[in-house]
Amino acid sequence: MVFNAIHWDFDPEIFSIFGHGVRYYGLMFALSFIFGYIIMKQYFVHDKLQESLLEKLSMYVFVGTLIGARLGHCLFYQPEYYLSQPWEILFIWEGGLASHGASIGIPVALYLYAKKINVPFLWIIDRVVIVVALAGFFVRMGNFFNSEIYGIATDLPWGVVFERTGETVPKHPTQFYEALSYLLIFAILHPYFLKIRDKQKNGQIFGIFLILLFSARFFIEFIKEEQVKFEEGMALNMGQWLSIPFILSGIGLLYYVNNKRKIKTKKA
Amino acid sequence: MRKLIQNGIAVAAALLLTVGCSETDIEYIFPKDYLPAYPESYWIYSDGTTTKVSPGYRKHRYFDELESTERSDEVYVPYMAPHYVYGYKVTQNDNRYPLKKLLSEVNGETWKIGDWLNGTVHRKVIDKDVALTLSSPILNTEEQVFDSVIVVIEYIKETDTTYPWKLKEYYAPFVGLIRQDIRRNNDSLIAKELVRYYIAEKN
Repeated sequence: MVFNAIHWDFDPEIFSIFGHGVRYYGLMFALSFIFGYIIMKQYFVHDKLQESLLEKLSMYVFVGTLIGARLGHCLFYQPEYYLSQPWEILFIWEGGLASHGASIGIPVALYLYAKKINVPFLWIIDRVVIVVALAGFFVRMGNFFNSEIYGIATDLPWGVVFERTGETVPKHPTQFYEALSYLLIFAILHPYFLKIRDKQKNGQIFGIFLILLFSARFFIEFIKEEQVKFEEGMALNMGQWLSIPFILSGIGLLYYVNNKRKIKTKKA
Repeated sequence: MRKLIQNGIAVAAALLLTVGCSETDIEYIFPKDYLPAYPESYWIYSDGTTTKVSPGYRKHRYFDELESTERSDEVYVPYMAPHYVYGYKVTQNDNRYPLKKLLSEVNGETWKIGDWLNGTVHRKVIDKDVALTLSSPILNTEEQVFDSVIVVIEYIKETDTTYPWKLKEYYAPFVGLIRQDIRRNNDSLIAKELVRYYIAEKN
């Protein structure tokens, strides 16, 4: 049997320092912050905000991402291991960050930041989610370089044989699909925000972001490996069920921000 | 306040005892001769790939294949990123077949390691006593000829058809994987051989 597949045997390590490998995943993570900073700077300059506030924001988001993603990995995936030797939670160089941990860490950091500089939470999150979409692209590309979190078997010509993990049959490169979806979301949100920002209502961009991002995840989940055994035989898996409330929240938020005045008038 | 401190100490002591008891119950799964993945061992191959075993044994469990929500017993196993090593089996990105058995010491043994669209993926031991000469000696040990080598193939099987192998692996005792042949698109063959290795102490 001859597969028309892509054979992926990419070395995830760029170089090694004192026995610790520097990986493309780390480079992608760094690029997401660099590009994120450049874009946020444009937004801050337009809003006539000081760059020192952006530096503070970067620090909040960086710390929120790192703590959230690391705790997410340690506590969601290997709680027994890390709770029995909690000091290893600090060993970030050994790998192990979880994006859903970051998705809790970032909003918490943004909430604290918004309180600190006295701006509405939805105002800052509207701007940050645009660069989060771009960061999602870089992080998923990092997963692709690491040959991790791929999908089920396929005979489509773009199926990938991840040889580094011992695969011999092509699998859906779901990290790549996700990366492209996030890049597309960024390509939609960024110009849309630039177009409407002077008359933008707080929460509008965040609402669209929630709908687009979790819809993409909802569809990609169909070709992902089941995360847990009890998903077998379920029409939708856990990731899809968890996406639905976020999509509905996005729709609800958009409805609320677009009809805020009417809702308030009716209440009065 | 004093009572609160006393209660706190009692709870902490109980927790420590519980943790202490459960620690001793956890079994260690040690590596086997043909895959001696002892912590801190490593293998470097001719294509530049390196396989390293992390220091120490790691606690691990996985979702059991047969029971819908049951997980396996927690055990200490070596971690050879990205796989946990259970003797001759390693974890893989497939929840229907959470463990992939890489080899067996029984000649002719066949086993299933995954599904493939309308078929299944299998492994089979096709020989267990081969003398294999690598194309060049191992850099740090000067070994070139290996005896008692186990040869395993991986292939796809559909209802009435068994396809040619996609992967052929050679395992030497007390060394591990010494050669791997991969059949890629258009039936081209890629071979990688061991160029340097280190097997850590068995403890």
